[in-house]
Amino acid sequence: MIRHLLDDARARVQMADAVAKTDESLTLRLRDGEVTAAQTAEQAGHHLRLVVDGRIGVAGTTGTDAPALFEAALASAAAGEEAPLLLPGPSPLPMVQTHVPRAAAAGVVELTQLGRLLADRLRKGGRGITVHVERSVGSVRVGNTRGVDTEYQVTLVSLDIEVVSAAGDDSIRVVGHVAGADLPGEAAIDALVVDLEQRLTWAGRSAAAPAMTAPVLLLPEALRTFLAPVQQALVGKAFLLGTSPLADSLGEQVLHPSLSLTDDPLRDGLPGSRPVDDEGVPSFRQPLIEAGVIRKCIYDLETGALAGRPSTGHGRRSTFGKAQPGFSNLVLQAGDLDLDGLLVAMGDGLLVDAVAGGTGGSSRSGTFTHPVLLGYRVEGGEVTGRVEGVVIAGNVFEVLGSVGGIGRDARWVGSSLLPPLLLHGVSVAPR
Amino acid sequence: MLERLLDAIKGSRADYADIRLERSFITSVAWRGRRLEGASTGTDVGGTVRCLNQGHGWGVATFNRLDDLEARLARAHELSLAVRPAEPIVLAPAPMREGHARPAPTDDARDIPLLEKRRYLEHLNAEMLRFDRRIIDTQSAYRDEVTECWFVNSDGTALHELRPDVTLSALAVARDGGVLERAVESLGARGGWTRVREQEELFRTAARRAVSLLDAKPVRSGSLPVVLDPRLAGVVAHETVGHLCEADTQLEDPVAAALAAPGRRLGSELLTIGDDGSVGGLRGTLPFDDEGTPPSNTLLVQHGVVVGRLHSRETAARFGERPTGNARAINFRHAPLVRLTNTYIANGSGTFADLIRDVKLGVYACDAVGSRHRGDGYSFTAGHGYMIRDGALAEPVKSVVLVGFVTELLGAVDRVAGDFRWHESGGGCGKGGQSPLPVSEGAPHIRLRAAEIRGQAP
Repeated sequence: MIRHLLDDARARVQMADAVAKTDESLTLRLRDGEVTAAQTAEQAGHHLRLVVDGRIGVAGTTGTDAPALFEAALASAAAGEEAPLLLPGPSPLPMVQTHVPRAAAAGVVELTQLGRLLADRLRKGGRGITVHVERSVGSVRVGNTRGVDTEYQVTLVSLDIEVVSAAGDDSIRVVGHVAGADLPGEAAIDALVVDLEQRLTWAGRSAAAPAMTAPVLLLPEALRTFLAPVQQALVGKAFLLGTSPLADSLGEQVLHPSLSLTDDPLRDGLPGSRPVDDEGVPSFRQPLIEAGVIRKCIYDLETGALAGRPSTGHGRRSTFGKAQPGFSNLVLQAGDLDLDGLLVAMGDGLLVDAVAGGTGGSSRSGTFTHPVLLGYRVEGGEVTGRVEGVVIAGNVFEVLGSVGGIGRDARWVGSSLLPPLLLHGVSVAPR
Repeated sequence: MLERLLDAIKGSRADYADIRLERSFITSVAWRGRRLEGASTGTDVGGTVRCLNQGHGWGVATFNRLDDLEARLARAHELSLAVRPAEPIVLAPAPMREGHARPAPTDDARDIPLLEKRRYLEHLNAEMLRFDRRIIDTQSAYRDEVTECWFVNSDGTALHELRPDVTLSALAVARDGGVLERAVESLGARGGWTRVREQEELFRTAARRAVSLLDAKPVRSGSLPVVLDPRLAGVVAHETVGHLCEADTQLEDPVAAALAAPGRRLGSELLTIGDDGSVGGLRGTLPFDDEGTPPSNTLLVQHGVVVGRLHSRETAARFGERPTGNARAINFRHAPLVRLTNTYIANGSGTFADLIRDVKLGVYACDAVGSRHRGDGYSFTAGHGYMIRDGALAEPVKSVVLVGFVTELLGAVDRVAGDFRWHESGGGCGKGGQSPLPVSEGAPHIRLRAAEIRGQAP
C-alpha cells in the first residue's frame, strides 16, 4: 500500500511520506501461577502525510482502502497548517538489534513458563502474585517521495509483576518490570527477584516519616515519574512555544554537574531501539544534558522546520493524528555508589520506591507534589521500615541542582535506563 | 454484515462466543495560540472476538483486518482453553435480541467538510485570544467520531448501531507579571455537528476564568462548610459511589467490596445516587452495552445506603444479580469491562441561594480538574471557587482541594438543592487502560456541613 500511495503522491502533490506499522501481540495474565486471561491483538495501520501548496495534510487508516486514504489526506491538506517541511533523502542506516527470532516465535506455552518461573521464585504465604507477560512482533516501514523506502522488524517481550503482601493489618504492593526485544534471560529474572525481595523486606515493617527537609533517594520507578517535567522541557515543541523553562538555557549549566542524560536509539534490543525514526531520519545517539549543561532538545520534521532546526530523528507517528517528537531510550548516566553507599551518604531520610503522578508537576514551572505510594525510612544509613502518608514536593529543576549521589546500578523502566538518585532540597510533608 | 457475522459465529466450537466489529470515521482539528496545529482525518476499522468455555476463561482476539473471522474465532477458542480461572466463569442468561439503532442522519458530522470545521474552531479559538490582552496562549480542539458497530453472539443476538460522538475543548492561559493561570472548558455530545454549534460562550468562559484566577488567592486550608456545584458534585458521585459499585472492581478490591456492600451506609440520608445508561441522548447513553444488554437506571445508593451494583453478564452471574447493561469497551481493541454511563445524584429541593444563606464562612467549589483516591481516602481538585461570607458569594479563590475519607465526605452532606442538571464534558472516564470512555455526570448543588479543604497552610 505504501508504494501505491507514494506513486500516486509523486504524480499529484508536492511531496509526501508514509509509515506503515504492523503488530501482533499475545498477552497472558497469570495469577498465582495460573493463566487467568489470554488475548491476542493484530494491528495494521497506515499514516499518510501530503504537502499541497505548502499546506500539510495527514490521514490515517487501519483499513485497506488506499484511494480513500489519499483523498482524506488531500482534504486535510486543504484545511491544513503551513510549515516549510523538508523530507529526508535516502541514507545508510545504523545497525541496531530490534528483532529476535526466538522471541517472535514464543507462544502460549513459552510465555506461560516464563510467567510461572518468575511467580514461583517469589511465591510465599500471604502473597498474591500477578504477572502480565506480553510478546509482540511487528514491522515498521517508512517511505517518502524523495526515495526513502526502509523497513525493520521489531520484537518486544515484557514481563510485569505485582506482588501484594500482607503487612500487619495492611497490605503492600510492590511492582517490577523487565522488557526487551528478546525473552528475558535467567540473569534478568534473578535480578528482578532479588530486587523485589529486597523491597518487600523493607516494606514489611513500618516506620515514622523523616523530617521535612530530609534527603530523598529516588529508586528508578519513582525517578521516571519525577523526571517527566525534564523530559517535557526537552521536547522541541516546548522550546518553540517558549513554554520550556530550559528554552533559554541551551549551552548553560543549569543542573548538577554529575547529571548527564542521553537519548539512545542504538542500544541493542531495548523498547525504544530503532535504526530510523517514523519520518525516515536515521537514528543516532544524542546527548541532551552533559554534566548538567543543556545540550539539545528533540525535534521531528515539522517542529524542527518551524524552529528553523533540522529534525533530530525523533519523529513518532501512530496511525492517527500528526507526527510528534518522541524520545527513544533515555539513559541517565550512572554513578559509582552502590545502594548501601547511597544509604550511608544519605544518613537519615526517605527512600522513595513509587510515587503517584501528582498535581502541579508541570514542564512550565517544574513544581511537583507527588504522593509517595511506597517509601521507606532511612536512619543511620539503614532502611528501618515503610513510611505511609507522605508527599514529596519541590521544584524539579531546582532540586536537580543539589544531587547528593548517583547509584551505579541502573535499571530499565519502560524505555528509560535510570540509576537511583539522591537529592537534597526535596520537601517531605504529611499527605 | 450481521448475516456474515452470524454465519461465522455458528462455526465456533466455543461454549459461548461473541463478535464486535466497528468502523469509525474520525476528524480532528487543533489550534494552539494563533497557529493551526493540524486538521486530520482517520478511518479505524476492526473487531474483537471473545470465546468462553466451561471450566476455562475468556480468550480474546482483536484485529484490524475483517477477513477470516473463522480463524479469529478459532484463535480465541484456543486461548480460552489455555485459561484456568480461580473461580468458574458463568454468564447471566440474556434473551436473544435483534436491533438496529441509528440517529437522524441530518446531523452527521461526516457530511461537514473538514475546512468548515477548521474555520469554526479558528473562530472559537479567536474568541479566547481576543478576550483579554492577558491571554497569552490557547489550545482549542474539535473532534468528531462516528462509529458504526455490529455485535453478534452465539445466543443469536444481532445488533447494529451508529454511535456519533463530538467534542470541543478550550484551554486558556493568562499571565500577569509572574502569575500564570489556566482554565479549561469542554463539551461532549452523543450527536452531530449541530450539538457543537454556537459555543462561543464556552470559549469565552475559559478565557474569563483564566483571567479572573490571576487575582484569586489560594484558599486557606482548614475545615469549613463547602457547597459543591453540580459539576463537582457529579464527579464526586462518579469517582466515589460510581466506581465503588462496579462489580468487577469489588471482585478485585476488598476495600471497594467492604465499602459498597449492600446495606452499608455510605453517606447522608439525603443522598440518592444511581447510574442510568438509558436516559435520553447523553454521552454515556447507549441502546445496548458491548455485550448486547440494554442499559438501565440502576440505583446504587438510596437515602445514603448502598442498594445496588453495576454489572456485566459475568459479574451478574457471580453475584446472583441481573446484568445492568454496564459492560463497555472503549473500542474494538479491548474487551468490555464494567463501566459507568451517566452517573447522577438525585434532585433535592430548594435553590443554591438556600444552600449558602446560613453559611457564615465557607467555600463554594466549582468544577473538577482532578481527583485521586487510595483505599477509601479521596481528593478532588476544583477548577475554581469562591469564598462564602455571611450567606453570600464573596471573593474568588483558587487551588481548592477537597480531601477526606469517602464516608466522611458523603456523610457530611446536609443539603441537596433542587437544581439538578447533567454535565457532558469532552473528556471521559479511564479504567484498566481504556480511556477516555464517554460518560456524563448529573447532580444538583450539594452542601457539606464541613469538609477538609487543602489549599495554602493557614
